[in-house]
Amino acid sequence: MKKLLSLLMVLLLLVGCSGGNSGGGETAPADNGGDAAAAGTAVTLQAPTPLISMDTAIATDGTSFSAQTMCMAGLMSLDANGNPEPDMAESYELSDDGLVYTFKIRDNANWSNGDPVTANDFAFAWDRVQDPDTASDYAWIFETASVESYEAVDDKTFKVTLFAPSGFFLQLTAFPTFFPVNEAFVTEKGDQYALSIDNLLYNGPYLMTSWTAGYSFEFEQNPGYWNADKFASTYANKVVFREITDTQTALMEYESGNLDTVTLSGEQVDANSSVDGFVNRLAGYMFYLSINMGNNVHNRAGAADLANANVRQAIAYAIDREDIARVLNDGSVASGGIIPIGLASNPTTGVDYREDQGYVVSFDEATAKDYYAKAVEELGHDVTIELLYGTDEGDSIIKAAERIQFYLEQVGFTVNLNGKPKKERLDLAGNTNNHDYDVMLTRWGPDYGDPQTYMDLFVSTNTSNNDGGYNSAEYDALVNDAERGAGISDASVRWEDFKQAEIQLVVNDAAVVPVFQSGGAMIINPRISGIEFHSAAVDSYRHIVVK
Amino acid sequence: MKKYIFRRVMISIATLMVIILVLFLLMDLMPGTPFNDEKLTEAQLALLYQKYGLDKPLLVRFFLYMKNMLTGDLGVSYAINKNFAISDMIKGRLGISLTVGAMAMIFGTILGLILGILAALNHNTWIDNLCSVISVIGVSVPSYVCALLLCYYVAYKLKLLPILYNQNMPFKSLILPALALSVSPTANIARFTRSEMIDVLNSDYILLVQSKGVKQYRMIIKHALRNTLIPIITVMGPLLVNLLTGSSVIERIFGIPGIGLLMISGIQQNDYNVTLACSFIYSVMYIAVMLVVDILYGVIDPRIRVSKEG
Amino acid sequence: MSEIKNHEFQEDDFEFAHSQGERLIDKTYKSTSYWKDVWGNFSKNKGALIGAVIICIIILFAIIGPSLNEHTYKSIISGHECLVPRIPGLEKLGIANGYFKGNDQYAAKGVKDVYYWFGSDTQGRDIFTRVWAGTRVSLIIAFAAVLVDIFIGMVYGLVSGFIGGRVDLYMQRFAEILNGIPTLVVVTLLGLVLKPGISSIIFSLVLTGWIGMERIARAQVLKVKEQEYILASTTLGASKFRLIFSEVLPNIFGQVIITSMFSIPSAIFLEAYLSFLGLGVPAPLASLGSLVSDGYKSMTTFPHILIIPVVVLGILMLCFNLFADGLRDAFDPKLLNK
Repeated sequence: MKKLLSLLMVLLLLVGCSGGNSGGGETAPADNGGDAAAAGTAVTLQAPTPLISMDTAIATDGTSFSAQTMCMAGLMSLDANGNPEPDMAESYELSDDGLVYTFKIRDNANWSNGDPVTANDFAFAWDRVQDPDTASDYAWIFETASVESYEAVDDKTFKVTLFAPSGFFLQLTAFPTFFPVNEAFVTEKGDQYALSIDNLLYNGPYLMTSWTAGYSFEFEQNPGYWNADKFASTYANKVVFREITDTQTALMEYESGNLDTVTLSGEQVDANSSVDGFVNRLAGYMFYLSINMGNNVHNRAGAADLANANVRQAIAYAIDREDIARVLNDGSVASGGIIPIGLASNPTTGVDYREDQGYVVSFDEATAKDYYAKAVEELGHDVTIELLYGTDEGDSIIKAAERIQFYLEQVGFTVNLNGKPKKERLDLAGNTNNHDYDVMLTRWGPDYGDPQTYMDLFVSTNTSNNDGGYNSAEYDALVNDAERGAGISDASVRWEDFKQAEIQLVVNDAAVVPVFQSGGAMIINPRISGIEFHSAAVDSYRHIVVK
Repeated sequence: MKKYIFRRVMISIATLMVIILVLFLLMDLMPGTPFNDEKLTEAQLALLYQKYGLDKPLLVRFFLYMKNMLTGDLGVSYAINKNFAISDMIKGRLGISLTVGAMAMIFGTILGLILGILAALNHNTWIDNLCSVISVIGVSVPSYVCALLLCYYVAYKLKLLPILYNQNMPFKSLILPALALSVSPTANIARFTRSEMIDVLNSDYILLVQSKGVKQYRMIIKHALRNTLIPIITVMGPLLVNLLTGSSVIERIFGIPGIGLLMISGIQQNDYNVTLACSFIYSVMYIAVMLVVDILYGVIDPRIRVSKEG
Repeated sequence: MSEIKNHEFQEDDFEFAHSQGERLIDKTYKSTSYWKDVWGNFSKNKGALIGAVIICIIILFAIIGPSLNEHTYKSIISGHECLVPRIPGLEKLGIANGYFKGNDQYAAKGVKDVYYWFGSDTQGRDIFTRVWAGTRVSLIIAFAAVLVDIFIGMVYGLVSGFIGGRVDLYMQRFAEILNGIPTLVVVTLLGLVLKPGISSIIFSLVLTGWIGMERIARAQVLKVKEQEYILASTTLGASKFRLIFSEVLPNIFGQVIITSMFSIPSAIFLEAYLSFLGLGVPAPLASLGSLVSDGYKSMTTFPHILIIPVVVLGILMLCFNLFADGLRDAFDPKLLNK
């Protein structure tokens, strides 16, 4: 009997474990999903990356920004084409010199606790982002937006003074970092602010009704929103985001009818490209090779060779970008330069930058081999470089790195791949480790629709982002002229300066080698429409219409 | 026996203290910082270090951490859910992971014992071979492949169970993940049961039991199985703990907000506090399982207890 | 009764019941060595022999496979992505003919005279070459890791279990601390300290892998050490060292072999898991594990990319297990009669 008992004990122990703990696992609110779907205008969308923060001063990632844009609102919001339209601000006035914006805040703009949205809420929020105690990643953006000062003239009037006219300031007010927060509420909640739905206040078209980290977050329409009537009659009344990272089960879930959108991996595209609702959206991320040419503190042999212009030109010509985009197959497209497609358009003609400038980088194996031969002759030895890339930034990055290795080796290089998690990759390439790399496959997502968001990266005074230590007087002068010289008063001069600067950076010096612009192949259930993708700003899920 | 258990518990607590210290040191050596992002400037990075006290010397941070830990404060997340209290993040996730792990262990134990006993009783017959093949397939196919196959056929094609985890029906939606996860313990337990059982069945006392005319099922349960259990319990402990960390891939596939996935993200994103807390929980569970195994040892086989006390 | 009393035994009153058997008792066997015995038993086990032969074949392919065609493990041919297997000869039979979902993929890509025996992957690399190159890497990793596991783990477990008492307690606590720290944390750290590559993966597998072996060895010792023959040896004055290595070790060897055969798949799996997290063999190098986790991504679209490495992995595991079973039975001959 005792023997049986001991066996039972083992089993009981296990059962006990499961019984006791399943209780603990169900702490999250139980009401969601299923029943609301019956209401007709509820949609469930896949969030391929997790929601990290609901605090507008803290967030840095697309999912968080999109979630914040659902339930919070800034002075402006973006329409389907990415143009600013009034949101919290009823109207605004711009002084003749283009430096002073005076926003008139709506009388019926209210927080979800009934407080009115005031000019002070903006002033407080902007102060908060720049407060060292908040340690916001985006504290620098006010400088980029040319903001010199701002003040709450009265409860409903907010005045912003710029130190130089900015073509994209208005667009930036729709960026969550510029959203207002309720001072009394934030002060009251202290450390707990924005950590759960109870510690959040909303002024946007939706209210966040549920948030289980790592699982889902949900929104329902905000009856107190200034434009609530239009929303109630037009748009989805409930939007559920389900965090699913695995593309295969996500697709099954979509095909079973439980999801309204699904992001596809490159492998899944061919089988689904003819499915009703398949879209290939272009995302703003530009993936490029950052070349270490002036920061060789570690005396790396590869980095030393990269100081040779012919080596860099060989790299620039060796890579077949079209082929890489074709293999990635996830909607990515070949780069034509450092500025992605759809970022900005010519201020006079309205033509997209990429089209205006043309493709300035191209694949030419013969030219690459010529440059490589010249380089070997000058250096006296073959070139071996290490390619640093991220291993946790998506499968497409690993594939791209393997292809780049292949193409460089076709020309004669010896390439060693060095895959690291993103944090470590950035750490290795950054200042703290004195730029311990040769060539890095890295990316930059635009913060606003203007070439400046890319051009600022490579000026010699930018210590944070110019990892490669590119230092070109010509380039610096062109960027400076655009941003602080003749470009201030003449938008077309600014435009031409940037175009010249790109040629200098990418073609003449081959200091960075643009590879591809990321895309997002996905399927959107044909029953819904109105998801607005902005490659240079935050994607908006505010205007989803259910047929 | 009481004295023995008390002593073992005390030792386990001391072991845990050492583990925290080692973890803390490891965390300090981890490459990169939690705050690296393309958009972050150097000045802001310094500010962040200051804000979270990461600029202080290692020992100061260690004692601060220990002090806070005693009050249940495990710090905040730096990257995964910025500024969330770790204890809040873990609370919900731990239960789900334990549920999946325990369900997988139950499936694994039952299936494994059945397969193993069947194989041993029919040693060197086709049944034995079949059981071996089943368990070999179990250890040869990665759990994520099994998971996807189960998902595809059981949930997607036959629509018997939900594809993804659903917090409205936690049990139902966790059956598939638990099954996928139980493949490897099933195989391991089956293998061990088989080989131990064959050993036991060949021993003299079983011959005696058989010659006394004891019925077969009684012989198996009362005499053979008990002696088979000792080594099996040894492998079951680590298997259980491995399930909890090995579950991260399963959690990813089924969209389960569990602790395995949290730990992996913590390591990848250098979210020190998350990694530390998850590793620590893992350690606590490991030590606890080992403790239980040791005590069960004593219950099942008194000789071990005697020799340990001596 | 009286009749019996007066009875006198005659020569032929008794005879041998089994004259045949009587003679056998006196027969002396030729003495054979232990290892000869083991081999004798092993070679009688058909399954084990088959297992051993297939393992040898796989090892052979791991050595020569990658050089059987013009591809290398990292050579990319642009335009040859995701081709299904096509084998000359077999294609006439309707299998491995390059047809995928009713379409001739090779014709569609305009490469009519090209043959990929196992197909090609999403990068346009030859899976045949990559599978064998990956098998080689996986075998190297697994064998090295398991060998070290056996040596460290077995010795540690033997000493700890046999000596017992305080020594056992401290040794077990040390193992517990080491095992109490999640493998991933240790391995991630090693990923930084060591240069990514095969040797650092072996090192990180060993660092925590030996503990499983140690626990088995110790459990076996605890079982064995109370048995009479050990007592007999002790009484005869055998030293501890002699007891451990010449009395206890052979008696637990079977179990250790079985365990080590299990360590091989788990070593390969842990490596696959590391690949999954970007800490495995550095790309574009392949291992069976990394091939499986790569193939996983195409499982619902181009299943051959997954199935081929999984099948090789499965056969390898099956054979290791058959082989291990055979060894176990060979070490423990009393099982053969059963």
